[in-house]
Amino acid sequence: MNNLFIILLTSGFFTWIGWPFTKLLNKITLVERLGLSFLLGIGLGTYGWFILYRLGLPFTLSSLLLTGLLLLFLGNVLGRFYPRSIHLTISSPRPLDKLLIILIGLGLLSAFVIGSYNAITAWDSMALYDFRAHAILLNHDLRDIVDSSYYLSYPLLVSLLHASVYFFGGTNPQGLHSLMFAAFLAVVFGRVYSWTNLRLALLAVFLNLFSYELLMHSTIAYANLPYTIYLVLGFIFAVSGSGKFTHHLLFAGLLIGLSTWVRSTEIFWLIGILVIAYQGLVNWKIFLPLLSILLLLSLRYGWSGYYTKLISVLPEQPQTYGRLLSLETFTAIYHNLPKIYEYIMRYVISPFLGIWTLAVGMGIQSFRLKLRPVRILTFIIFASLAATIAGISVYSTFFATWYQIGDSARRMLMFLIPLTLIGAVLALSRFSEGNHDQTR
Amino acid sequence: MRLNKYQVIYFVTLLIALMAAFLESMSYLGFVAIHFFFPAYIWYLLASIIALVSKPIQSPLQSLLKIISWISVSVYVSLMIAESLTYPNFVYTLTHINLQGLQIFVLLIWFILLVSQDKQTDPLLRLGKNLLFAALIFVSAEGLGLSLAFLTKGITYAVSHSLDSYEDKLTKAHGGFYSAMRLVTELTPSNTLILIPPQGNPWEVEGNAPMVTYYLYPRKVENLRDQIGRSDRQVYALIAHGSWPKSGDTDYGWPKIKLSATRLWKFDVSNHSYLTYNRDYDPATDNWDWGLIEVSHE
Repeated sequence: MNNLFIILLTSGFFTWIGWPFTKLLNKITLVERLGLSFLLGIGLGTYGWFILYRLGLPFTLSSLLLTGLLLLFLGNVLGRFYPRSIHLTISSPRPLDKLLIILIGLGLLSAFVIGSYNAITAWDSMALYDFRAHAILLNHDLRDIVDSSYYLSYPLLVSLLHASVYFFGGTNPQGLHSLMFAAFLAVVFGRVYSWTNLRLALLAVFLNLFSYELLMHSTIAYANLPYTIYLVLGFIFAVSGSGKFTHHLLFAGLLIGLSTWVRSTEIFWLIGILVIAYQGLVNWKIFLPLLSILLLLSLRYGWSGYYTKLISVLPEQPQTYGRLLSLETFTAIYHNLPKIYEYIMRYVISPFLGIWTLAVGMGIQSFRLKLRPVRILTFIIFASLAATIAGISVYSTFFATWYQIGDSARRMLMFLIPLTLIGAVLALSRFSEGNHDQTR
Repeated sequence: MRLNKYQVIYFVTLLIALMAAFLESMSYLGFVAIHFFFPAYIWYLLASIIALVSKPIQSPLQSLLKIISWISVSVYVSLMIAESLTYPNFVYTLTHINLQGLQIFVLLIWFILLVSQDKQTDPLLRLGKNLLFAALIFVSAEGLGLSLAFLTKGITYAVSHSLDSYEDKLTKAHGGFYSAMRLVTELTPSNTLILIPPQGNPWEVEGNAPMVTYYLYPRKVENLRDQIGRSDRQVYALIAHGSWPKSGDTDYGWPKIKLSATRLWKFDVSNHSYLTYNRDYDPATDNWDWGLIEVSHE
């Protein structure tokens, strides 16, 4: 019971420090504002905590609270200069909407109970993320973490999130992952609602909640779901950053930047930059897209710069990518082609067959019916596929065991599920009445 | 009902495509290409194109398609639930139904059903819309089925084991390994070096340094390869039979060499107790499931 209280206390703390930043967004629902506050609070809170550590403060409860105060100050200053906090009210639900709300509530509650009840036992969540949290709690610094390329292989968001629960006195932070999932769904609801209507917004939440892969990950302490959450929301804000809403691009940069604070080796943030730049071009804006891209890159650099510095002095250095574009690499890829094809079919296409079919369907719809947001989402999905195929091809030339770790490719691509489901629901808006905003 | 020649072509192609999908559901992907020359996806493509350019079909055949579609999605979801409640490959082991093949069958038949009743004349819009709806039905049915099975299983377990402590849960998840780690932490000071088996079968868990470190930290953990080197810390070595089923050439039991020791502990992980011996370690006599060696540097 004490642990549950600490989980709620920690969640309240992060929501509180993220709240002022959401004042920069106008016309969003209270549900979305709450969800976004929580996620921004976690992302910026843990990032700020790390920056203070780099500046010489140890990881303690006091330094976490100081981070919170600094972020509150920053958020309030920004909110005072750029106040935009107009709420979007939610229309009253009809019987089917009420049923969806009840099912969504039950699903989320069950996920929270399972995640909070179970001990942290999944392999990487113990050996990597939670271990680092325990070490930070014990030492108040990163000793015993920075001397191993394994412990440095992922940035610190998940570990610092766990550490914050331990500093507050909790024993099991796993329940926070399902609360992050709930916050993600709240933002999905808000985004889809602002484009369409209550029924479709609830449908988008329902489909995402009961998509199994995401639901299952919300009950374990892996980094894949937090990564998915920040990346997908970043993409969605990039898509919505058009017309009167170009300021959404700032949130796109912020959220995609925070995704690299969860997992830094994937290159999908590059697609985010492309979409932000595209939105800037079609909306004839320079300053906001540029600022957004700079924000993304600086957030990414915060960890990658630190990582590069540390890893260069380790005896067990990871593989360098210096010969990435060499003839030797291309020859090796050509040699591996049948195996690469088989791998992609088995681990990239087949596990997501329904999702790929959905993506093709929504892609055709969006181009034929000129649904602009869906078109951009389709681009993101297929650009991600292309990046994945390119990545796997290169990876196959570097590591002899590449073929044996198919499950990681599947987890890496988890973000395609919510992106496609949201895109599909937006495409469905053509067959629905009473939308708030034309998805053109 | 009389069929014209186009309709005959439509139904024959559809029948062949569904048969191909069914055969691959009962065997493996690629079965049709090997035994019937044409790969199955050629037939899927052909049936889909013909369905797209054909007019909506009439009632009795549509009802038949509807029945097969609903049966197929129900069977698929039921099998996926069975698989998620048991173990990976449960369905294939028991029924020889290949779920990857079956999902193609389900998607195909739903697509054909939806196209066959759609009055949209633009073939591209017809394709997009019906792919969207067929895939949404498939994805939501699969997701909902698996999620409900997962939540039911998780909640039932949590309720029926609601009094378990955190340690009980870890013991259930990691068995003897977790109990052994707890005994090691009780028997060794925090500034020591613990030597563990090389990572690999049959020491997949106890040979995994990050996993062992999770429980033994701040003790230093190292995989012992050939011989014990010099260390400024007191050195201990884990005795581990191997908790994973043997799958390679390496035999159970570790350490495999004699070690000079001040003390040995033989663990009884089920009762969380141990026996102490003041002698050297000999793999011939001390090949226990779990134990610990206090290495002597003399």
